[in-house]
Amino acid sequence: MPIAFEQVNYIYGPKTPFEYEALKRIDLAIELNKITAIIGPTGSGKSTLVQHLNALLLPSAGTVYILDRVIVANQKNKDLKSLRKKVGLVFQFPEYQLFEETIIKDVMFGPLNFKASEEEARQKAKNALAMVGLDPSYYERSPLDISGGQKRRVAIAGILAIDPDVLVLDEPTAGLDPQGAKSMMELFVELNRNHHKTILIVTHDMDHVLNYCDNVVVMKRGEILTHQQVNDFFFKGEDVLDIEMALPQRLKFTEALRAKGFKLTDKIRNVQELALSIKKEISHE
Amino acid sequence: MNPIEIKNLNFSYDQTQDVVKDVSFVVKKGSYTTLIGHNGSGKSTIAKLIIGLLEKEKGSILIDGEELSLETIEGIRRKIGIVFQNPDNQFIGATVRDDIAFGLENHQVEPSEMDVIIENYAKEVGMSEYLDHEPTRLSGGQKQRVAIAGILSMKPEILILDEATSMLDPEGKEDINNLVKQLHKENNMTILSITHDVEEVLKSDHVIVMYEGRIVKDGPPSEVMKNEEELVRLKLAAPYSVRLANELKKLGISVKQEWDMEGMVDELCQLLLNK
Repeated sequence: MPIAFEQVNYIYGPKTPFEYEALKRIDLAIELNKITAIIGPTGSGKSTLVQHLNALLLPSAGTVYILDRVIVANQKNKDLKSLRKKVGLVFQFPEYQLFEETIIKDVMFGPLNFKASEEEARQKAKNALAMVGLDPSYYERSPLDISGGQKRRVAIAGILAIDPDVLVLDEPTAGLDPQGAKSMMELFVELNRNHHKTILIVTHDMDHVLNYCDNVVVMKRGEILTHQQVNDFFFKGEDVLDIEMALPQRLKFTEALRAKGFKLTDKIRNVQELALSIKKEISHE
Repeated sequence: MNPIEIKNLNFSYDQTQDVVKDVSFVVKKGSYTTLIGHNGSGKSTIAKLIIGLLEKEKGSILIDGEELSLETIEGIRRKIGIVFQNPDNQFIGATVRDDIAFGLENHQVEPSEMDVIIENYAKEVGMSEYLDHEPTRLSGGQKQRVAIAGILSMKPEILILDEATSMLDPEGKEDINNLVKQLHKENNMTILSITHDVEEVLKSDHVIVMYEGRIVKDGPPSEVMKNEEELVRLKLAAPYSVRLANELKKLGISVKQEWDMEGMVDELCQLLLNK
């Protein structure tokens, strides 16, 4: 079953002086078993969009299809808990979802809430914490006394422990150190390739979009500007230049070198290949 | 006199494990200094110690040569503006306008001047349209913009940014960085920025690196950021240009300006022309 938005509107604070239309007639179908990036300027509606996926926000108008559920605006929705077992959402500010006395308890909360035994929950929590790179010395510490980046890891572990089919991550690497960010992105790829998870990532990191994602959705002012395969987006169309977002580092370099007369193909996939292409050009007779 | 001078600072949250270990550094007047390090290395803790939100265990914190203490803290806080990781922790007003006004009121700005200042800074951070919105209802990146406008409008002598632009889109980040740079120049503001953004580090005057609570490197970015192996060992990443320079070195091509994309592209272009 699909994940799709059909003519979805979302209005914050309707009929108040703060009324604000954050999503405008969104039509969007997300491919299952893929990693989809959602990008766009701040305030373009990215976080609002993804919060519809586990019914944290309900559409003001339109319909959201999520796996076997259909959420229609202005209708009563029962049993949203079963949906939240299937779709795990990690917020932009992870500290809002941490509340237990210890980190291990915090991560166990999800599985316990979905009726796992104490023993099972502990095992799931341990596995999830290992996945995000937090070792057992953290288990008994308070989730409120750790750094911002570590809180983010705990929040992600809390969702992984529930083992949802769809993982929705709102800027999962903001505040992570560069290696932490890299291993987090590699973890998502691993979960996608080997465990067939559908993954949606809201991000501002264009290098992450290029290096780890399959599809990309671009939002602006509450609308979808484009939705394409990552390779088409960066290498085929003009959209990437239109959206006024910084290019990934690798593309910045290839563009700058091309402007100075280097002949470089679009097929360059990493820094090693870029170095080889430069060498070929320089030593070319 | 240095705006910030830290000597042999120690701190622990639980009295058993020190998270800041014998830290000493200086932030020079009018400099743009970046503080980097892996998650949990103690960066934010140091920011909180500097403004007296946490109490040090040992060592000293001197602001403009004055030791931070219960007697001096009020005066010192007037000089320092800080933007936190999570801007929600610093919103007070019911609207964006009120929120920026609150800080100005505390700095005894005349009410007649306030509107102009508020509108000016809201415009600078791209939030003019949102002056009558509730700060808590804004997106993460917009919240960060408002928090930054609120602090900058007070024109602090010392500005501490704790991952203040982590949720901004790349363009927004550049806009804010340019605004901060402009104020930095015009007012000779001293800036200490905690960041994971390699580009920002490369453009700073000075970079301090923390690892497990200690300062392990301290110098200009052209020196600190060029050793890829060492940066990886410190759980950081080298700039893309440095990684490319290392790959080129393996292939027998050496470049001199490995921390600077433009410089490196020019060097490679010369090699292409001289082949």
